Amino acid sequence: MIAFILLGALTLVGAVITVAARNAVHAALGLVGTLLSVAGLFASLSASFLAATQVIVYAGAIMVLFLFVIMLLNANAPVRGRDPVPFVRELAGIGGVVLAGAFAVLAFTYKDPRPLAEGVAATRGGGAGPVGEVLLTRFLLPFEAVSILLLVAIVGAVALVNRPAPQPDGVADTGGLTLPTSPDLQSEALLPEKVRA
Amino acid sequence: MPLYLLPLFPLIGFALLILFPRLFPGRAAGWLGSATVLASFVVAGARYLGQTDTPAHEVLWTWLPNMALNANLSAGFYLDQLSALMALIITGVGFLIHVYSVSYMGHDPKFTRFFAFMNFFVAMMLILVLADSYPLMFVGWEGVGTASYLLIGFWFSGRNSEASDKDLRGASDREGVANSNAARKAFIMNRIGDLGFMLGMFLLFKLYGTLSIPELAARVPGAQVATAGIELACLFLLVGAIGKSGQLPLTTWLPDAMAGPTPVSALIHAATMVTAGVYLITRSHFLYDLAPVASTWVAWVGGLTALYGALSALNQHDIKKILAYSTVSQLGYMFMAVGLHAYSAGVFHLLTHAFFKALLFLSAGAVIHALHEEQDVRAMGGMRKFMPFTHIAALMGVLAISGIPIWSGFFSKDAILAAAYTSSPLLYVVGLGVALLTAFYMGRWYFLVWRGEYRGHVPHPHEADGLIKVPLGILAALATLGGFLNVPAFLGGGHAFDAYLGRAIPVHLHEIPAATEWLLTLLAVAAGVGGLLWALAEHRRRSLADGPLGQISSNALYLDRVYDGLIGAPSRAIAEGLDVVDRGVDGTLAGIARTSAAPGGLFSLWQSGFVRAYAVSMLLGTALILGYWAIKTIGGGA
Amino acid sequence: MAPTAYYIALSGLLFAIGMIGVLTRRTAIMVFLSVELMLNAANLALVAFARAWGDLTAQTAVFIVMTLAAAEVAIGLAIIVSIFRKRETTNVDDLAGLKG
Repeated sequence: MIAFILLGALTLVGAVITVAARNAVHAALGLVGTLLSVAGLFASLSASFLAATQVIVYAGAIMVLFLFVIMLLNANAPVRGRDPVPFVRELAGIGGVVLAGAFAVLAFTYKDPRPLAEGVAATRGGGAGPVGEVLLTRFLLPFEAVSILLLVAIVGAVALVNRPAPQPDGVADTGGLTLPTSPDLQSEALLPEKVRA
Repeated sequence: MPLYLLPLFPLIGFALLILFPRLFPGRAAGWLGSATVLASFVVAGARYLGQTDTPAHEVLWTWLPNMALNANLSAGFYLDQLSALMALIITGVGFLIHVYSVSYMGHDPKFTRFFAFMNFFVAMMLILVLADSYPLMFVGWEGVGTASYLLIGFWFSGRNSEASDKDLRGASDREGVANSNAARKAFIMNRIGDLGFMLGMFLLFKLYGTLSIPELAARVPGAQVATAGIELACLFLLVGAIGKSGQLPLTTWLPDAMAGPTPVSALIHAATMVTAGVYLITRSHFLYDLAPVASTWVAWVGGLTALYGALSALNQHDIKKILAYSTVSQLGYMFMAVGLHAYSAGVFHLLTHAFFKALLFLSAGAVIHALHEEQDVRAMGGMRKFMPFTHIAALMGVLAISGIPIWSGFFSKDAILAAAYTSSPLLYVVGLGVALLTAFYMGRWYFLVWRGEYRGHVPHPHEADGLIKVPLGILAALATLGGFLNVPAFLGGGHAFDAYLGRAIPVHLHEIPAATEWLLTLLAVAAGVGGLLWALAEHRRRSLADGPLGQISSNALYLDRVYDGLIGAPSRAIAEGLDVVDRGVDGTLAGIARTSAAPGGLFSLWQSGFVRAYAVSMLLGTALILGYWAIKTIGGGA
Repeated sequence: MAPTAYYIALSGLLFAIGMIGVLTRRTAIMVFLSVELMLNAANLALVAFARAWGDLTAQTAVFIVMTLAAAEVAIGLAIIVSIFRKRETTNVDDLAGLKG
């Protein structure tokens, strides 16, 4: 219980920092805090494999990627000026409060189907062994599908950021996805090069 | 030579001129247009010389196959004495007027187009007279109507639309509007007549099952058909003839049609097209012979129109308007004749009228040209000195139309009056009175234009050039001598024209004692001479500019105004009422459209394109669903 | 052991905070970070339910979500980099070309 309160508080503080920080690097670090706290919560929920994965994949790999991009684009300053979407802060606040309230109401009216100890025993500690057993038997197909998805994502990410190499005759390479330079060119830009010519 | 060559030549000319106008620089278009009509004239002449008593019927193709009653309608040409005569008039007079136009229209920027339209007209008129069936005749009928419309409105933007002078251009614009309205008026008035023609055709087909003219001519006399049907068909055809020939009550378009160039007035609105009504009735003689009531109507329409035209011509001041009302009046004579079944007399007058009225119009055109488009007879006078040749030609025309012996009008008018005397004394009196009035207004025209002091504004009017003189000379000769084609028996003649036409159209010769004939002739001559002397006396008293009847005549007996009041004003009132309703409906619909568009605009604000705005919508929706669920849970738990 | 309800409530709070972040932050990267928060909230709830029901299915689901998140981050960041190259901005409001 004490662990939950502590980790829960840390999670929320990290989340608030993430959302409210003016500097993008601070926000990313806040998110790291949240992710680590959530990993702790996973552990407190006796999901040890997921806790480890959370730390390694999320707090490790994904957050490093985020920080890389933030620094690469030098985009850690917030956007200034009037928000073009009217009443967005107010609406987001109201919506968030209603959402959180509704969650709380639903959570506290929720009845566990059996004593928690039984559940903990049934998940067998949530280690790599039990989870892997389920994952590679009952959920083999989703597992493989997700692996293909990852592969596609890798290829896609490389293709997206691939800078077209300058051609001898000055024609731009069309290997990478060319995004429009201005909104009014968008429809035209989405056509293949051959059709446009 | 096949008959289809007749309309084909001018049609080719029309196609060349309208499609490739740039191929014909200078006056080439005029010469081409004249040449095609001349070629048709040669064909017509050859066919006339080689003519036998049997009518030639040359079928071209099956036009409307598988009609009911197994009556296939073929398109073909039919040449009997009547159509041969008409073809000769159209191509002969047409050729002369074409040649005249080469000079007359020489400086017009739309020279080529003018000859294209003229050729089109000649082709359509030939189809009209040569058609072997009523539908084909209707094709030509509509074709000449179109040509007439195009040529009346030929100067649809005025004659000086390109002028640099502002006042001149303004006047030209007004003239253009007037010309266009005149063209429209002719077109619309003719539609009424066309409706009659079509109804007549439908009824004839219903009664006899065919519309081919030779077949009808063979079928009608023996057919067991109620007289009322024939009478009705004849009345319908009369409506068509009235529209085309400018008879009462559809006469008002013809005087306005003088807005067209003068050669058009001469060819279309004097010599040929307006006589199509007379031709139609003569062509349908086998029907009218069986329809006494309709024939009486024809005669009375003609008589009244003759009187109307003569009265309206008395105090006109436009050199062409006088001739226009005179044409209305002379057409009335022709209708009177054919209505009295004196077809030969009517067609003979058609022939002589084609000569002398074309002559009068062309000489009027020469005067208008010499005076730089001046058309008011009060600003003329004394033209005899400046244009001696044209003066002689015009004088021949005046003598011919006034019915002075040896000139052609004398013979033809005499024949009509004789026919009227035997059939309807009342019509005879009308005809005789019209003869007197005709001589007077033509004398007035002559004295105002050619005699007296010169009152014009052009310092030295010039005589017309050779291209104008030649057609004038030929027409003057024809107007003078054309009457000898049909010298009546009591004058030692042989009724040559009647005999010729009699091979196609029955000639109902009236047996009148020679003494009576002499009396009638003397009365007619007295009327003509009296009218001219009356004009001379007025001329001496210098009161000719203001003719008798004053404003009543100037305004053509207010017929236009009566129509405007009877038809125009109510139509406009209805139109205005409808306009108000329409605006109301439009306003209501626009209001509904605006009202329904407004919320749409509100929704389109939602589509801002900002992805976060869409996310807000999503959140609100989610919050709403979850909030509802939560409240429900609390409520359910409590 | 803290009851499941606490975890669910915490998850809801985390989700709401992430939601607010998505809505109010205007740079693409910050929006992305907030999305990660929301994903974690969902994961937390899944794991809590897995314990309550004694079923490992939810844990595998979390595993798959994590993989998806990794793929999504890779693609998303690549897109952001591409956009930045073309437009010199990461402001999501500048990318309003699909306005109705």
